[in-house]
Amino acid sequence: MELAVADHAADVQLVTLTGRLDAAGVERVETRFTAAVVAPSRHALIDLSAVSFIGSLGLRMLISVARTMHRRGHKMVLFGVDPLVRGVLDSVALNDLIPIANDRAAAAAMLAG
Amino acid sequence: MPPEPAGTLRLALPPTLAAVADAQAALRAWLAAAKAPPALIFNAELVAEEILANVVRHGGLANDALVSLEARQACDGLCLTVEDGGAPFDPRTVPEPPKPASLDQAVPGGLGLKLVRGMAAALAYERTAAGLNRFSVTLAAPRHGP
Repeated sequence: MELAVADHAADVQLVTLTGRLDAAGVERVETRFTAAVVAPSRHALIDLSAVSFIGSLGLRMLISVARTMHRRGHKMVLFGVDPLVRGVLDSVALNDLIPIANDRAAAAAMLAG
Repeated sequence: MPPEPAGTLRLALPPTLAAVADAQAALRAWLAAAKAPPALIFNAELVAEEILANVVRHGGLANDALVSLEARQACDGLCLTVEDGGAPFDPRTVPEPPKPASLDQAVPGGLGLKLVRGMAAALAYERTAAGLNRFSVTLAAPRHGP
């Protein structure tokens, strides 16, 4: 499970996750992901296009980080979700809690909206 | 008789998350060799993870205990069965987590069994005569690709 951070705009960072958000993957990446997304006090676009699997622990990680950001007045938007991963997100109605966009441009538009 | 792959996969794993990942990889390889559809492989890995990670994290098992996972190809899907020697626990009795009205109210966690219920065609539990939890999940093969 890998994690990369880049600038999308001055107040928005782009965080790319690569690998499997299974129990072992979450254990490896959760501390780094939380620090990378929450600490900079900016909005975050999360690229999930290279994430091929997600389980409940992965969902928990995303919800937990999004909630912390929300309390600090920042937004987190997911985009580029693989269809099978999207099925898992939809089965728990994650979209009601964290916005999900098709691509990076649409995700950035959601931040502005 | 088809020479391979066999119709049943049996694994015994120590109660660690690393072993859960190994079991998922073995299950994935076994199903891929059987030319199972990607959606069935994904669902099987997810169900295996949720049940096994639950046992590892909450089963209170000794470090040298073993958890067994059996995957059996049914006529139109797959049956996954996990046996463990932890405290008696029937996952079917766990209530659904309430749906949060907002992110602020969301309590992360408790989604694993919800995912399993959503994917399963059938669930079965028994406490065996040998004193094991035996939990079985039947997954139907997807009607359409991928």
